[in-house]
Amino acid sequence: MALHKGYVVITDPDASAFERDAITCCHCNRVFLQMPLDIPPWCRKCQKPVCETCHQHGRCRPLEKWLERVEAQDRKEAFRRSLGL
Amino acid sequence: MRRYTSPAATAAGSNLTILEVIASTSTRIRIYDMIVGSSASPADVATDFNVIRGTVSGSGTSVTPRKIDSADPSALATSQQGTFTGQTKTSNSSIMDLALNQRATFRWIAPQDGELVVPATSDNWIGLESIASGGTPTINASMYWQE
Repeated sequence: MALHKGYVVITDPDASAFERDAITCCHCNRVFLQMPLDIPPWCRKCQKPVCETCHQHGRCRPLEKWLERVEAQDRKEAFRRSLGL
Repeated sequence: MRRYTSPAATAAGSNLTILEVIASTSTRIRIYDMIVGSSASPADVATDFNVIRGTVSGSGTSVTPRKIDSADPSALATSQQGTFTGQTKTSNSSIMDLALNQRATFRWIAPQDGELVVPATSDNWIGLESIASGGTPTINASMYWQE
């Protein structure tokens, strides 16, 4: 298990264990398996792997930005509720 | 970072949530480990699972998060299992897809900084969803998270 790579294992009583590296996209948080000899797309700004879909978009949209936006929206709504709006 | 886990046991089915972990406004939660299996009598039943996001947790059966380190305070996040009502699931939000035979056990371990993150909001959640199943075996799932 290398840096930036998680791990998936599936154990089955009728077969040997299935093991693969699992990669988390640094843009959308999606988890995907890395096939042997396959090199995942890479965001050169984040310096982390991305999924194929985010790679196709061609723009750096870090997960952190999305989290900040959702949290800011939630704080705004909480404030409006506190005012009775 | 404090670590917690919630185990759940819920029957599989169509678009049924097995386990959901709900954030609090004060902290993000980072899910770093997940185990899915079945405690039902061994049989060949295939089930399709997704890990999805949602914005309203609804009401299910509460599962008290367990501390990994007994010296830690209680978790800020909450978790639920069972039959849900009033949930809002975010469409097209699946962040992990897996299809599993009932006899098999699945485990995912996140890399550092590659955890599944739930924003620090009032009711956002991440859950394991049984999308479709060839039967209704009991699915046992555990999620481990940091907060």
